[in-house]
Formats: sequence, C-alpha cells, structure tokens
Amino acid sequence: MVRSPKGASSGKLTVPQGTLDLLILTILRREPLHGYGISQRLKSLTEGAFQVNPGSLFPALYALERDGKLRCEERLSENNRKARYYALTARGRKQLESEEQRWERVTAAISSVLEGA
Amino acid sequence: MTAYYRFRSLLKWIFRRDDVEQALADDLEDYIERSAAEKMRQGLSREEAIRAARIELGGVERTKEEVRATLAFAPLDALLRDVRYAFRSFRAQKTFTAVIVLCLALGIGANATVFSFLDSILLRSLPVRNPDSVVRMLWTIQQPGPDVPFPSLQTNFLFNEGNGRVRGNAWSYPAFELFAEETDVLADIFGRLAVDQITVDDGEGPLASGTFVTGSYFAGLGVRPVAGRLLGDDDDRFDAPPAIVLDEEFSEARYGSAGAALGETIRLNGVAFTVVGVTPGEFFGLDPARSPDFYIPMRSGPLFQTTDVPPGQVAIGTTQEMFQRTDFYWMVVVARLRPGVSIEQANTVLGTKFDGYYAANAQGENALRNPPVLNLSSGRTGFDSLRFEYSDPLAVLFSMVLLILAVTCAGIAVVTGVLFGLAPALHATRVSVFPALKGSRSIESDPHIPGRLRVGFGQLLVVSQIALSLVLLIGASLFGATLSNLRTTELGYNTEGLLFATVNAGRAGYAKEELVTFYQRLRMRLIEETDVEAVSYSWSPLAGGGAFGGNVSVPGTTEEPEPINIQIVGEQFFETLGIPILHGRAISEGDINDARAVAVIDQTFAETYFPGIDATGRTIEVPNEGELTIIGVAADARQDLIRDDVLPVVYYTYTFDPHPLQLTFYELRTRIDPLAFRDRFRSIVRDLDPAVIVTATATHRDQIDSSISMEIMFARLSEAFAGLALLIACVALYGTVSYAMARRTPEIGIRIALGASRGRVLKHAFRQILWLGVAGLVLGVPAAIVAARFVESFLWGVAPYEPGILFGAAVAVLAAVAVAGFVPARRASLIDPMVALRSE
Repeated sequence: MVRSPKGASSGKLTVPQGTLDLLILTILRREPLHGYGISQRLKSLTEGAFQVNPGSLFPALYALERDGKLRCEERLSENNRKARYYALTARGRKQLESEEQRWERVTAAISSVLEGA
Repeated sequence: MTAYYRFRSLLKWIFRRDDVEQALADDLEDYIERSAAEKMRQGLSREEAIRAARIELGGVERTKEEVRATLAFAPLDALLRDVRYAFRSFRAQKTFTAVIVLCLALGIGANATVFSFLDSILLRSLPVRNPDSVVRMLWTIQQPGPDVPFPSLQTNFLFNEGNGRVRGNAWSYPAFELFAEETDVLADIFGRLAVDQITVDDGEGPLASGTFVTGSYFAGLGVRPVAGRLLGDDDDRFDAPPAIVLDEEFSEARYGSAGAALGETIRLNGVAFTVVGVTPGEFFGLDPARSPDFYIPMRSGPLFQTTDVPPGQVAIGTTQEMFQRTDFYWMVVVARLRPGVSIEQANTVLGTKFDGYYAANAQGENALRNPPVLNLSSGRTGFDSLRFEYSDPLAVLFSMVLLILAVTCAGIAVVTGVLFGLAPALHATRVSVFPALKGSRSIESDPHIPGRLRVGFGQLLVVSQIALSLVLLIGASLFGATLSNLRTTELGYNTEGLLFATVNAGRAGYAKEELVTFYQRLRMRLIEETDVEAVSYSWSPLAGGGAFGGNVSVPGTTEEPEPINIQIVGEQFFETLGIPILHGRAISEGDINDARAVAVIDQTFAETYFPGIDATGRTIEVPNEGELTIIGVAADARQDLIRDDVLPVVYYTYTFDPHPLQLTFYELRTRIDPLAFRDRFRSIVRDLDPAVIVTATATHRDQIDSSISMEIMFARLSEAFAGLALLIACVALYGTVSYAMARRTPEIGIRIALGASRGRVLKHAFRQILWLGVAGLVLGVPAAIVAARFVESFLWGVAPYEPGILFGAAVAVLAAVAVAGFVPARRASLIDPMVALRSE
C-alpha cells in the first residue's frame, strides 16, 4: 500500500481509478454502513490519505447496487431519519474476492518492478 | 448475470422512478445530516455545519445527476454496446452467424410446421356455433377374434381403441332416424358421408373431394353462408333438383369469387348440380384433416348410380337402398344436445334405444354376443378420422420436434458461447495494458471469463447434442428402413413397367353387358399398342387401393364364413401381373366368354381351407352369386393395403359377376416408362368414347406411396430432423473445439517449440474430440433404445433394436464428430510456434 506522510500538503490522494469499488466492498465486508459512514471509514482506515468525494461515492454505490453487488436496507437513524445502509450481497462478496486477488497480483508486480529498477 | 441486474435496475429506474428518487434524496439528506452533526461536534454552528456539509457533497443536484446517469444511461449504454458488439461479432464471424441463423430458421420452421399441424388436428375447435354442445355418435365393440364374433352389421369405418375394443363411427340410416326421434335430449342430429376423387366437369382439372350431408347439417352446426344459401331439408329429397354448396376457397379458385359461383352448373362425375351457396373458408366440416371442396345433399347419391349396385357396395355416394338397410352402417352421425342435457344423460337415453334397435335387427346366433354399444363423445374439437389414426403418430412427430428444438437450443448456446466467450477472451489478451503483469496468462484467471466452467458446460451441451442426434438418426434409420421395406415388400407380382388406370364407363351410361363389351374393346385396343406388353383389368386395384372384402363358405366344412378378399378379373390377369399359377390353370378367355363359374384361389386360401389336399375341382360358395369350381391355385399376391396381413383371395371372372364393373382398374404392362404412356392411355379411351372418364392413372410406385403416406412423411421428416440435428451438433462441436484450441494456442506453441510433433499434438486433440463423441454415444444409445420402443408400432419389417441400424448410426455420428473436430484441431496443430508464443 502506498503511503504518504501524515499531514503533508500533498497527502490527500485521490482514489486510484477502478479501486473505489474494491475499497467500498472491503469496508462493507465487516458490516452494513450508510454513505457517510463509508466515507468516514475510508478516511480513517487510510489515516486520511484517501479522501473520497461524495459526488463520486454515491454514483459508485448506486452502480454497485445496480449490478447486484450491494443491497440496501432502510433503517431509522438516531434522530428518526430514514437512513439507507448498504450491505454486501453474495455477488458482491465474490467480486471482492476476485478483485482482491487481482489487486495483490498487480501490487506484487509493481513492487517487483520498482524493486528491480 | 450482470446484464440481468442492469436490465432489472433500468426497469426499476423507468417504472419506479419515484422510489429511486426518494431513496437518493434520503441518502444525500442522511449524509448531510451526519456530516453536519460531526462538524457541529467540532464547534461549528448548525447552519454553518450544514452549509459546509453541502459544499463537501459537491452540490446535491450534481451528485443526484451523476447517480441518475449511473442508473439510467450506463445500463442502456451497456446494452447498446452489447448489441453493437454482437453485430460486430456476427460480421466478423460470418460462417458462425450464418449457421446460427440457419439453425434457428430450421428449428423454428420445423416447430411451426408441426405445431400448425397439431393445432389444426388436435387443438382447434369446430368452427360452428356453440361447439360445446356438439357430440359425435360412436359405438364400440370388443375386438373381434377367434372367440369374439363381429356384430351383425356391415361397416367400412373401424378404429382400434387400444383397450381391446374397436370403435365405429358410422351408423345405418334407420338408426339415425331412430335417434332423431329423441328430441328430448337432442336439439339436432345430422349425418355426413365423405367422398373423394370426384371428377369435376370435363375431368381435366384436379379431382375434388366433398361431403354428402343430411338436410339439417348446416342448420344444426349453425354455419352461415358467405354467399347464397346453404343446404336444407328441402334439398335432401330424392326428387329435389340437385343443389350444391361450395367451399369458399374452391369457389374462388374456380369462379373468381364466392358470389360468382351462385347459379352456376357444376358436373360431378357427370352429374349436373346447381350452385346455391358458399360456405365460409374457415369452416372445414367436421374433420379438420380434410377440407371438402363441396357439399351435396345425402339423397343426391342415387343420381350417381347409373346401374344397379350390388348390396353392400358403394361406388360413390349413397343408394336408395342404403337409406333402408338396417344392417349397413355407413353414415357418420353428429348431434347437438339440448341445453342442460349432459353427454351421460343423452348416452343413457339413446343407448337404450339403440340396444333395442340392434337386438331387433341382428341376425345369426352370434349376433348378440358382441353387440355395438353407443358411446357419445364430445365433438368440441372435431370428428376427424385423422385424429383417431394420427394421435400417436403426431405424438411421435412432436417428440421429434422437441428433440430438434433441444438440439437447436444447445447448438445455439454453444455457438454463441464461443462467439461471445472466445472473442472477448482473445480480445482482452491483445489489448492488455500491463502485459508484464500477467505472470501466467490464462483466461481462467480472469474473473470475468469463467473459462473452465464455460468449456465444461459447452462440452456437456455438445455431448448431449451428439446423444440427441444419435437418437434422431436412429429414428430416421428405422423409419427409412420401414419405408424401404414397405416399398420393396414382396407383393407377389412383377411391378416393373406397371401402369394402373381407373376407367369409369358406368358413368357414361353403359350398363351390364355393354360394360363388358366396352372394357373388352378397350383392352383389345390397348393390346394393339406396340408399347404395351400386356393388359388386364380387375374390380379393385392391387396393393395400395384396398381390396373389397367378402365372405365365402366352403361346402363340406362346418366353419363359419371367413372374411376374404374378392378379386374379379378380366382376361390374362395372372399373365399381365406375372402372378405364378402354382397348381391347375389360370382363368382363360374361354372361361370369360362362357361366363363359367370357375375360380382361382391363392395359396393362403388353399392352405387355410384345403390344407394338404388338392383344391382344384372343389367348390366354394359366394353368397348371392352361387358356387364356383376351383380351377387353379395362384401364388399369394397382396391385394390389400400393404401393411395389412394377407387375407385369402378368390379370383373369378367379371362375366360371372358383372355387377361391380362400372368402375374398373386397368393394369397395363408397358415396354416403356409407364408414365410416358399415361396420356396415350387417356387419348385411346377418349377415341373409343369421349364420355368415358379416366379418373386416375398411377404407376405402381404412386399406387403404393398413396397408401403409405404416413410412413413416407415419418421417414422424410425424421431424415430431415436427424440431418439438421447432426449439422447443428457438428457446428457446435466445431465451435467448441476451435475455442478449446484457441485457448490452448500458447500451450500448443510451447509443446511444438519443445519438440512435440504436430502429429502428436493433433492426436492429443483428436483423442479429446473422440472422447466427446463416445460420451455422446454412451448417452445416446440407451436413449435411442427407449425411444425406439415408443415407435415400435410404426415400424415394419425392422426391429426397434436392429443392431445394424444402431451400429450404422453410431458410426455415422462418430464420423461426423471426427470431421467437425478434425478441422479446427488440425488448424491448431499447424500453428507456427513463434506466433503461438507471441500470443502469450
């Protein structure tokens, strides 16, 4: 995992193209979460390095739901507001596994290239 | 799968948009709420916090738009992309595309044909008013046998019910009148008699078929004319002016429109009728399998009888006598129940009445041992003879169509699987952005293409296709063998150069002795032709037309008269047909000229009635005609429909019994192609007397084929289906092997680069292909054996498990599999190792 020093002005990384799905799925593996929760969890897990714009997060969530990889449960939030919690489906779980494998291969390959260079 | 979810989501987006919008609003609202709450904890005021949260969201509307685009446009776009991609693939893979289209066309075509057939015969309702209250009147008897006598009645229409009973659908006219009295249960009752091969006007046009109907027929069925009026009780009188109703199609073909036919005169077998009306095209009478060209009154039948017709014999139509006889069952009867009367109630009332009628009229001591029992049956879907005879054959046809459909589907699945699986797989490897990342290039490792799974499933489909093809091929072979057995069956006479012709001089006004003279003159005239080797004539056509049955008794034996076939013959009958005389002599010209009471019997007759003794010189008795002295024994020659068992045959001369002669079947042995002599035959008859009509001419082959049309249809269809199935299976196999080989291109390249010979590579691939073929056979042979049991009753002279046929079909399927697999396997083995490795 690429890390950058905490607090560095260049520290805010945009999520690499195509990996947002992987990150969302990973986060939801533990428990269903609402949209804000997902973005917060993402921030805290990467120690603030990754920031995902809600304008990208929601389209990604809806696309995953559309493709049957996430499903949505409506619950009441603490202040009696309707909140939508996203959860992994079996299809989503499968997708996560294969994405993980792919990611491992890609990073391993990139690392070996970098080390060899 | 993804396509399914996307499509579902798109539908949701289109049809339940409010829900989706609401969810989206909730989601964003919730986000802002939570984000603001967090910011308030960090010390911002509520307003500030909410504003900051909205900014963080990047604009509520913009985010919503992005989500909408995801839901609505991306799936549409993807669908369009898929469709575009499909078309591009089709263009790129022209052969595959052509084959898919061909498979689909043939599969759909076969299904549509058979289904429309099924629909018209089994499913369509009668095109009449309120068909639910229409019942057909049937009777059943126990299957007659050695211990079970035939009831005391005569009929030509019997159908096996399959449960040890036989069903009749014809009634005597007095029985019909008896039922007509029961107006408490029946609202209407009407009868019909179908006639075929009717000459229209000059006899040059095609023969027509029609129906004699009782006066209440159209009124009872509730049919409305498209022009003029339909027949009624006033038309159905012996003295009524001959009126005819035409079918719309027939009328249009002949007169240009339905209305134009009204008032026209039309001559049927020489009898003039006036057209009074036209039935609608969708009305087919009572039998969906036959659509009559015309309807004429039941009592117009005697107009066709220009000579006395012997008892029990119908030349065409009805005779005065048929309306009186209580024991001759000839008319198909249909009734309409009174509202509120159930079939069971009507059956009880009419059945009791009929039992009394039969008992009162039955003759002979055995008459009551097997009486016919009335059995009303719903007429909702028609009354066809065809359905009686064809429901099993149709089931067989339908099964064949289902098999071909299965093969087609599997074939298309495999071929499209290859198209959409193979092409993207190759494509993906070519455009890969990170070639270095692919430690081991293989399609299986790509999560989007479950390669192994697809091939496994594809192989399964191919194996089942091979199995189904084998089943169909074995079926086709069995039906084909049946057909060729029927065509080449030993008929007992020489079929080479035979021309059959039906000549009707009775209709031209000849009677009795005049008929004899005319037919003799015609024969003498024909013999003068250099192309004609021999000529004779007989009462009924040989094999194919159906011989006339009768009874004879052998004086001196106590046995009951047994059914036999009677053949009344002219000069040189045995010589013309080449039927050997085994014993005694044939009927001579002297026998004919002197009208001697002599007979030739066939071998079956001799063995049945005179076992081990010399039959010549003995006498037999023909009811109503008198005693005949046997002068010779002829070899067996098949007289009847060729599938029937051989009945004993008695031959005697037409001068002894000239009654039936108005219609005569000529047998000519020609020195040229019999078809080439047809026109000459007609012109010779015309020269003798232009009024005499030649109603039909046929070669021996035509004659046979007309009686085995079902077998021919089975053989043709099953051959076509089997060929189609095998073709589809081969295409699918070709596709599968191509796919498998393409996937293994790098592996093959490495093998060859490492020194494996191309032959070895080919052998390896080929072994796998044959393994698929063998797996198909292992599945297919038992399936075929099971299937063959169901068609056993349609086979003739061939066992359902004929090893030769099983083996032959298996070899044919394996050969086809080998060819279909060999081509792509060979192509793969010829690959340049450098190219193969570069594809890595």
